[in-house]
Amino acid sequence: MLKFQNFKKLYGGFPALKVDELSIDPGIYWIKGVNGSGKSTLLKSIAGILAFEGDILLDNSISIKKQPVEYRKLVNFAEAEPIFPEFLTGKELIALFAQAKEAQAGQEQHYIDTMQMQAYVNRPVGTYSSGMLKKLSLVLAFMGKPKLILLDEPLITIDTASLKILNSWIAERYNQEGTSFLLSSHQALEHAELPIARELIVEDQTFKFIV
Amino acid sequence: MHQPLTKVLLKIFAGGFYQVHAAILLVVFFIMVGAVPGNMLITYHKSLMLAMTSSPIMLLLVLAVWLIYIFKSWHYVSTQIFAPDKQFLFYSSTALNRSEQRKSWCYAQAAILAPVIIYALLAVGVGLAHHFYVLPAVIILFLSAMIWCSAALYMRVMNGLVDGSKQSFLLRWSSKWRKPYFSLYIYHIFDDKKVPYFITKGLSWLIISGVFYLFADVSTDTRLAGIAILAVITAHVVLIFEERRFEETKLSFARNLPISRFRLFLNFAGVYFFLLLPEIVWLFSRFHPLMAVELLLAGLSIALLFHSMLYWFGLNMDKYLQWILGLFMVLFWVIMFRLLWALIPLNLVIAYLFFYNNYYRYQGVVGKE
Repeated sequence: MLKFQNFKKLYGGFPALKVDELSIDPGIYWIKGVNGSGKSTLLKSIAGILAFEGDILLDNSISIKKQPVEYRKLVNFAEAEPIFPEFLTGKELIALFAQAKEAQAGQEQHYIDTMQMQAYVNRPVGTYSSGMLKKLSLVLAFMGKPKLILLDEPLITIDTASLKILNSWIAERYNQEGTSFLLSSHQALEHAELPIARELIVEDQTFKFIV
Repeated sequence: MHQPLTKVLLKIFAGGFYQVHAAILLVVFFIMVGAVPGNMLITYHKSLMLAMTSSPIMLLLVLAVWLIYIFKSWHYVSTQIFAPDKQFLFYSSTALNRSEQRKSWCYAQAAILAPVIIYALLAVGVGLAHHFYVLPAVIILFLSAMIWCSAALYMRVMNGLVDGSKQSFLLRWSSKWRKPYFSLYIYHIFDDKKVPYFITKGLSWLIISGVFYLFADVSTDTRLAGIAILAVITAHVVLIFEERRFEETKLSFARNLPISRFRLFLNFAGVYFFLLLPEIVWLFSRFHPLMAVELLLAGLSIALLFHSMLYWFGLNMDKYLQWILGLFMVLFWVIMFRLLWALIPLNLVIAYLFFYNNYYRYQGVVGKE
């Protein structure tokens, strides 16, 4: 599903991450790593937000460098600590993402309802608490028909009840549409609720399967 | 003066104000000192002060200028009060009784107005020495009243409860509209950057009227209009920089959106078209439509060039201003050689190449050397 080719991310001339050759099959993955190991850097690179050397291919054919638009249509991302323009409402942001990611009309309603965001989704995000903002960023990451969804630290700032709902969303998308997930977290994930395939780790400036 | 609150307010607001405005204050100082030959400096200012204290019209003009300075200080302090690192004032300073709070705020405002106060006191001295009493009294009254009003304003902000739901008029008004991606930049300007926007437009107006006043004899020359447009766009550098900063800090998610770089580039052209609307109205009301279109396209291409350069070296204001200065001189001479029409495709191609090659090369908020 995802293939790294001579991936190299430098920070101020020093290699922060280096992945020569790595293929990841479709599935749900837990990316482990201590603070500062580079989990967010890795996910932001895969999302097309951070620049890097080398290439990343989706389904062996869509290159992040050569087909930037197609690639971004199929890879969605939710940041660990999301930031949006304060003056936009949740609904306006959802509309923006839905249009860009070519979501079906009304796709967001299921997510807004299950996460119980109806009360504030029409308010400007400047008035949101960090948990509300996090939930909104998760909804945005599920817009459209992505083949891969990257969630950076999805467990932080949201309450346990919402966490269960998020797990149900992930399971649903994986079972119905075969969407793959890369979830980064330094805490353990709920294996009971998630059909977790494998674990990956970011350490020693590289990214690999845990053997 | 020995109040701890006074000390804190002076350090935070007066100190902060001078730090942020050091450059512009220095420029004003140099203009006031450097505008006249050294040997005439004292007589020049003395006659200016004498005019202020003897002619009501002259004093009115000076008070208007001081008022602009005072508005600027209000704007600075009232936005800074809400900065996260000043939040502690809401639950500390408000416990003091009101007269103590007022005294401290008066000191802080007086410190911010120090340049004005010093000049005013000198003028009052000059006026009194020449036996003018009424206008010097007006000056003293005006400044005291302004300091008192400012303190009252700040205290009102400080002691009122924070209403987190406030939104600018435009946003409440537009809440029913769809907000496509490129429009976010425009909403940002009218939500958060109204003051820089109106200062820029004021500057733009000054440039246009200044250029055509100075060169009234050749006012139909395309080159003159081209140079006016170049200067107008250069006056927009702060807004252009703010757009980029907004994109980098609040719209970093956009790099994950499947929008092609060509469309993004067109979007930015749309953004600058919108921001230049007042100038566009002027262009079409003054020039032949064909020439107005040429000037408009030249203006847009320069704005896009200034914008796209920021993708290349990041949000580095010093470096940016150096480049703008250099480009201004180059473009100035190109226009002087009657090559305005050639600038349009040239600027657009260079701007697009900068944009295309650097858009995905994220360098962080401040570009590294």
